[in-house]
Amino acid sequence: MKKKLTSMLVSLISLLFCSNVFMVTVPLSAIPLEKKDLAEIIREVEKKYIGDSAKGSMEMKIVTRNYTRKMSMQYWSKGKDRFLVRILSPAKDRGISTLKLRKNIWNYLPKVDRVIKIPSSMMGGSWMGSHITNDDLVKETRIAENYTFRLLKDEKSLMEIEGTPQPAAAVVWGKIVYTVAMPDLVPVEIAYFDDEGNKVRTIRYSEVKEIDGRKIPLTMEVLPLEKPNESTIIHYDSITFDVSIKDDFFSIQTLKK
Amino acid sequence: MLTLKMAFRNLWRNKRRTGLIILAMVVALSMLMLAIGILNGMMADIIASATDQYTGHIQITKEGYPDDRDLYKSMKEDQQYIKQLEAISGVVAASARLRCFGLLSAGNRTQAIEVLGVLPEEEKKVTTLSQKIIKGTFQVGPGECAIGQILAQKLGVDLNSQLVFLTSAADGSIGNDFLKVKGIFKTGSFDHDGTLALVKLPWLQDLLVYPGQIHEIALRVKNPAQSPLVSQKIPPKLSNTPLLIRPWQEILPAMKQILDFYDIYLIVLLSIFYLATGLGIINSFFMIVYERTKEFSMMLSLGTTPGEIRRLMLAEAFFMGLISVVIGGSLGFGLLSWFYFHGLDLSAWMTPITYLGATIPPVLHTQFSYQGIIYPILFLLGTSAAAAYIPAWRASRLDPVKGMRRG
Repeated sequence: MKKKLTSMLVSLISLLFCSNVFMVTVPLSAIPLEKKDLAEIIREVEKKYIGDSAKGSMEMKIVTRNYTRKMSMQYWSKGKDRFLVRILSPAKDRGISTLKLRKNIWNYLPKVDRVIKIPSSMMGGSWMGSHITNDDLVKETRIAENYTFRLLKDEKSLMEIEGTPQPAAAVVWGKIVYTVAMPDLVPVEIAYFDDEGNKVRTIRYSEVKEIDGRKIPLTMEVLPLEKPNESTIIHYDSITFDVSIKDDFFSIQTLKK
Repeated sequence: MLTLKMAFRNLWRNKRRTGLIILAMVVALSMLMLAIGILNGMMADIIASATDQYTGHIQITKEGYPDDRDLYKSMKEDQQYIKQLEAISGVVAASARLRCFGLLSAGNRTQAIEVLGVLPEEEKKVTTLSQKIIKGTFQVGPGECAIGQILAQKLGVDLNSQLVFLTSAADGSIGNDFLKVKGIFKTGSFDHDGTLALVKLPWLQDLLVYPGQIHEIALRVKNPAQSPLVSQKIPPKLSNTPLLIRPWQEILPAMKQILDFYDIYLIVLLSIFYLATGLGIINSFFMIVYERTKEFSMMLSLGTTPGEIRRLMLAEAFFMGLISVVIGGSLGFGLLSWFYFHGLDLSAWMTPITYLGATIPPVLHTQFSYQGIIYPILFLLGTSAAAAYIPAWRASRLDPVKGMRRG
């Protein structure tokens, strides 16, 4: 039962973080020269939603065998280390917030006025049956660091890049295949494979719109392939880039507000 | 008739001898009655603690629920169905329950627990948890709970303490709310005292965002041994939800095996006990034959037939048996009654033993049973007659001439 709770907390966190799931934390210079272009493309792709700082609102719809749930949220981010998200609706969950500071995550439950720091042991599962795991939060941000990239297809409008884990890397996926629309580097689809080479998850992007000079897909669909009728869909209602937010905005005090 | 008269008189010719044999039989009978009474009591306690306290005698769940206790394997809370169940002959009461698992915290102490949502007034009729309340009340309202004594200790809380409960709700959200401790129970079972919290059913349904849903219906039946028969009368479906109906013998198969084994154990115990008693009686009767060689020889010489001697001895044994039954039976009954009301307190030597979900309390109460009284008595009468037969046969075959000289 502990595990169940753990996994749900974990997945909440990861869900809330889905907007910056694909941050890359490694400096480009660390990547070998001949691979740089592909790694840079991946990094560009994943930086799409983040910029230097951003705020916005989104709606998340989770469909599982057992329930369908819709939430709207407000978020703020600064760089790759600071992130705060707050649930606006449904009313009963209003105010539930999550704060990320580097590798630490806190949850705030306003009803019982409690801040809960998520221990690392509780970061490995799924919450609310949403189809994003915490590994997406912690490990996906290190894709460029841990994977080697190879060009699969290079057409004028579309590029397919395959990432395979470097030998010593502790990673979740056996293979990741990015499909990116050129020339604006807009993600179209990302497919995730397990160690046996089976495709287990797809993230699909759609509804591309230009915001502050960036072309961004406003809808992101996470489809777990072993559960055909389930999905988590995130839709960005608004995104504003390069907003001025102080570093100390991302604090427990703000979390509890 | 003469034989009986003589036999009866013979008994009082050597009062000490007769008294000693009777004493042995009295002690054997009363102790055996007590032993069986205590064992029966222990078995009753085991069944009661395993079923009465928490499980119920019969459980109705959705098919598959007991395997993983998945939150979503639930059924409708249908009052009509519950009424229907209570109308089945042999069923005493039914209680609907919703269960979830989560974290209960007080300050910075947190425990992983099981929460059972019940309607206290219904649950009271089905299980004995309500009688195990040592502080506060069992009648919890919304936002209130009754928790086990060990859990209260672990969290460092007492009555009216405020707790925070976190769980995974049915809509995928984090169920979180305050719970006030309104009752503390002590069952003797480490599991229940350490990890169980009782809350009000509608409150839990709200918290879990799971309106009108329950996980199980626990039933109490008049005779727990009859649970499998009663189970068969229960409709196997609830508005197309396939149900799993399990009597406690199925829920706790190990417990049933213990009880089956117990019957065999009782027979073995009885046999050993009476073999020992029987050997003692045989020994005493041989002594009688030896002591009374002269007397028997005289009787044989005067024309008493060997058959009469034999019958005389058997009659004496029967009388002694009868007297022992009266005295020993009363003594045994007295002991049974004493320990039935007062219990045999072993708490100085043992703590409650929890085994396979059942708890053996340190205070043993005897339990009356028809078999536990009749069998020892019949066994005693049989044994005394059987044990007397060989010495009686010896006495009838005495050579009167040799015998007379010996005295």
